[in-house]
Amino acid sequence: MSVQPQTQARTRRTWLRVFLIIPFIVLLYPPFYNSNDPTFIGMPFLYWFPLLWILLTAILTGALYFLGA
Amino acid sequence: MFTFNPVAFTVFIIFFLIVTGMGFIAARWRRGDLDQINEWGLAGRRFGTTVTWFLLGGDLYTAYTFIAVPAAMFGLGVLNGWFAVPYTILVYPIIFILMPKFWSVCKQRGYVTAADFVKDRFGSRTLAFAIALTGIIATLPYIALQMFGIQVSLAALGIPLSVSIGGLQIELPLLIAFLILAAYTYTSGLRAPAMIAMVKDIMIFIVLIALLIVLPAKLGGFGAIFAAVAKKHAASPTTFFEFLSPKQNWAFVSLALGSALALFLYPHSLTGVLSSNSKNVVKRNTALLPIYSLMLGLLALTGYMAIAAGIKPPKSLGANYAMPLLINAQFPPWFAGFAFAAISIGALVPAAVMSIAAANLFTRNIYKEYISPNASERAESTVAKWASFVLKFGAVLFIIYIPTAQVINFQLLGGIWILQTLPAVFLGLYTNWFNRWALLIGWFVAEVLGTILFSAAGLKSVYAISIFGVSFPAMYTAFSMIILNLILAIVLTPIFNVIGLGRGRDITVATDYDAEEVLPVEAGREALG
Repeated sequence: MSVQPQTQARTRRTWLRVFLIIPFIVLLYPPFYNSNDPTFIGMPFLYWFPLLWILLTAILTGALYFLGA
Repeated sequence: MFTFNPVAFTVFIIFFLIVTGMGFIAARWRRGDLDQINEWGLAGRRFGTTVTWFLLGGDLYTAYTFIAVPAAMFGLGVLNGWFAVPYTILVYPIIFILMPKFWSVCKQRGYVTAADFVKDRFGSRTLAFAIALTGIIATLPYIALQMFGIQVSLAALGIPLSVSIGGLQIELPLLIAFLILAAYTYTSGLRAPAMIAMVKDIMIFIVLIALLIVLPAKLGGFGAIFAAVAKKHAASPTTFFEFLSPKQNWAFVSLALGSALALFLYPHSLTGVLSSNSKNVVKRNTALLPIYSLMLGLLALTGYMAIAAGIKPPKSLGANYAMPLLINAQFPPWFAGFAFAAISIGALVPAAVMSIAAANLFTRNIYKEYISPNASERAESTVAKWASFVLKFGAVLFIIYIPTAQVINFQLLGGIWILQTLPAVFLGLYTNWFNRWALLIGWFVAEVLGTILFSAAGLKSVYAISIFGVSFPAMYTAFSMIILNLILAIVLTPIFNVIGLGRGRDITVATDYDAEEVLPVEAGREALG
């Protein structure tokens, strides 16, 4: 009886981890963000976009932790 | 170039003394028997989320972050400096997947080092020896880089670097800093850097916030800063880059990914992970540690701010002095003293953890394995304490005898070396399929060839390989070598199995990797003390 929910939790957690690939796809293709525009507070895209992804990736790992991944 | 200022010096010394005091007091923090390597070298695996956050943050973000990255941005621009941002982002998803497994098997089996794990997983003392040796040798230039960070801070304060004693030029201030560090690491073990890390991190954040509030305002905002950067690129279009040229994409990507994969193969990172008290502490920290990555990214931009401020370090000193010169030029002496104290202490924490981690490797996987198999726990701990001392001394010699500009290059070489332990350590967490001799040969060939390519490129870690007339784009040598290493391990494993070259016996079991644990919910107090 107690085995069943645990197995389910496990299946779900493996599935969620797939999302961790997102920052790799985005950041490891520099032509996507290697540009000046759009700028933000005077910073070229190439500079503020990775800084933004620091926060987004942290939110991603945090969410996966709370979802029990 | 740098003038001695009594105010700056006094502030610097006060903070240095506070931290030294803490280093010795740390021996009594969460008291344990420091005659056991588990207590001295891993602080009893008892750190909660908060302490682990400070320790790993203080441990991973080193003088490389504070000195080398802004210097690279200042001198060379986006490729050499800015790759560090995707690098320190991508490292955390990797850690989220791998480190809970690693923590679990090490806790279950009582491992102190990655080589302990490899020895049992692949049943090979020789492979474990190779992993341990790689860890120690790759760490040495990294410790030297920390010493270099302290040296830069001392120089920026106008403290004379060498003192003539009986006609001999001796780098006295650096030696004193080193001896203090060595003394409290010896007495307190990992507790010392863990405790100091809290002070260090708070100081660094204060410095960073001050820099970010004051500098862009003084320099006319980021628009003006990046206009100066664009001007520098226009003036030297082949050596300094604001944006990646098409030919640099591969180098940028391989530097980011290769470094992200390598970071948690370094002994000091793994030691930080193993000193935490649960898998969940490690997972939580993958969401919390990026705060330091943000700090790294913003600190990197100070390299550009130095360009906008018109900082021109003399040729003899080089780009590494851009940030210190910027601080001296734009801030009052008391703040400069505080900032350089923060950078020096910021270098002491990783230097301490690195020497402890390398000492653990030497003790567990070389001394106990090959020299004195019957060593008692007490003897093991004593050897580790002395090994940490000797290793730091080796790093000091390194910094004295190797030109400082090369220290950073050697640290990059360390990255090439350490990444080659990936198949055994990281893939080993998932499978014991590899033949131990295949892993060993893959490792050996990649290490040797990687070192040759590094020197062929003129002590640079990015190299364009061409094989049989097919030339590949320039990429991080660590990355090309790990691919070669993996190919060899995969191809040779079935061959060796067929010709009967013995496979090792795996004595770990599946449940070791996924130990479920029931731990009390961390209250804030418990987490801290």
